[in-house]
Amino acid sequence: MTDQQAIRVENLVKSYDGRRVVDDVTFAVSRGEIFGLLGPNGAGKTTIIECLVGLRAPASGRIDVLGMRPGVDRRAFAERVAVQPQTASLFPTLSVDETLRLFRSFYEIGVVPDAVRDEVGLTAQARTRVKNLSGGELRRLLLAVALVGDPEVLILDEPSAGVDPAARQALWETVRALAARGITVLLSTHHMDEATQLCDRVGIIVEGRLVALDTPEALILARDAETVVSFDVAADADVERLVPLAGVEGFEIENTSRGRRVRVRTGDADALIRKIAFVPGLGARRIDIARGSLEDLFIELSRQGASDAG
Amino acid sequence: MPAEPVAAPIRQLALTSARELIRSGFTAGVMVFIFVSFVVILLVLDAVLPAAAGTSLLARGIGAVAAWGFLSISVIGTAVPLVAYRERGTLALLATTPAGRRNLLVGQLPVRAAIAAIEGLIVLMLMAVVGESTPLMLIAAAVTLLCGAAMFLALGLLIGARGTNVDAVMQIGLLAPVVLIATSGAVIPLTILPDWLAAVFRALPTTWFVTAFDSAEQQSWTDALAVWGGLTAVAVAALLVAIRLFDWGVEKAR
Repeated sequence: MTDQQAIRVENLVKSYDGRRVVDDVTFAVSRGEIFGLLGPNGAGKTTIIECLVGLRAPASGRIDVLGMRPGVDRRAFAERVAVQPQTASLFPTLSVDETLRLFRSFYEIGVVPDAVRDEVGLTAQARTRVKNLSGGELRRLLLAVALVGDPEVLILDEPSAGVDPAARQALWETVRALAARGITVLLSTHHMDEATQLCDRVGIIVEGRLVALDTPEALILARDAETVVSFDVAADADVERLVPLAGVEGFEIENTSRGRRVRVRTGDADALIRKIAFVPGLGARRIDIARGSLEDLFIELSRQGASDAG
Repeated sequence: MPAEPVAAPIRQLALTSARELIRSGFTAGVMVFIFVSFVVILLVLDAVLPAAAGTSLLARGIGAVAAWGFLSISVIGTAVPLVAYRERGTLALLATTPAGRRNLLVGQLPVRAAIAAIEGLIVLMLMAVVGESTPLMLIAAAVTLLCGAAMFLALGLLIGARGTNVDAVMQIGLLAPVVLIATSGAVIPLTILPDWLAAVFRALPTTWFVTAFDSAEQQSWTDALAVWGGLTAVAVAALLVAIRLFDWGVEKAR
């Protein structure tokens, strides 16, 4: 483990009842990085996170977080590493403020509970009891509980599950602000937009195995994700003129009420659009570009994983 | 965000424990009901059967009343909530913080000690009213109540430190008072039991507690000191074992 690495996972294996739910997973997270664990439900993300914070013991492999082994010296570990679990039960009769004051008291150094409460957007719920919070508010309180000890490493398990779009945006801003302060963030998600927009790097977990690991952009490029250029043409337009154009890897035509909609697959959308504009008699209009996304890659890898398992 | 100096975790845990116990209502209600119902039953029996009993049943069973009340605080009021926290995953969340098992367990004590103190005062008042207790006997009984409450609370923490099933611990909470009364000599005099069985029952710390009241007037100070010392030793041992064996509800690191 280097000084620049906050988290190092090597050949992690975890089994339940003889079934490997985490299978030889290796990755590292740099200090100050936002790292995403992406995968379908049941892929093993939560188990990896639970191993990372010492709630589960690996069957084999090694985990280092800030040079410490999870679950060995719990107190020293917990002073520097915080987790927002996917599901956790707080004390139901305590209010939001009482909960934050309680968790703040566990740490030698931390932040003012009111400040972290305001940061996660629970100012109006300050005196609301935990049992009366909505699912989204409870998620935000769990995040506040994780932040109140001012951790160096923050681990979030599905942080935006059950959170409305506006609150998700606020959550992303909070996570970005934390990373800007040098806090390392590891989060699990199955929201593609969250992984693409928030994470510096992502690891895609399918069937307990790490099947891809890189920046979102590099993953998309490495998988040769195609861009689709769509446009309308008149019903009598000569679409065969597209065939000799460089960059056209195939196209589909659909009849619509306005004429025909043409979808062209290409590796260079910008060059293709310039060429289409000058094809005599084509008259392309209403041009749209749909670039390859992490979601495409995720679906492809998930299907591969499912078919391999089958 | 601004930094803040360290707060006292044990104080916050004690406050949390008190709020949970009082605000949830049910647990506190069951504890009070168990204690009060036993007192009321004995008062009613005293009213219905004054001549047959000879002396007041309540006066004779005051040790059992105190034990009954403390046991409900111990199991229903202490062990059950801890096991429920484990079952719901609250303890696993706390395991990811520096809360500390000693702080968590000791933090459960203040509110329960306060409830035990109230029950203890009621017991002393009953002794003064229905019994023929001298001031010295009341002082001795107060010390016995103090040591006994410590023992019962520590035993509750011990059960709570390891229990994993709320229903099972609740069953213990409902059965334990019956077993305690049956083995303490409060209902079945130990003198009529086979010697070996009476010896087993006399070895139980709960029996030391109950019989300390029964024989208060005959006890020497040496006997009393032995009982107090025994109860305190069991309390300390149970508390230390509970802290040592406390289970956060997470897998152990290898």
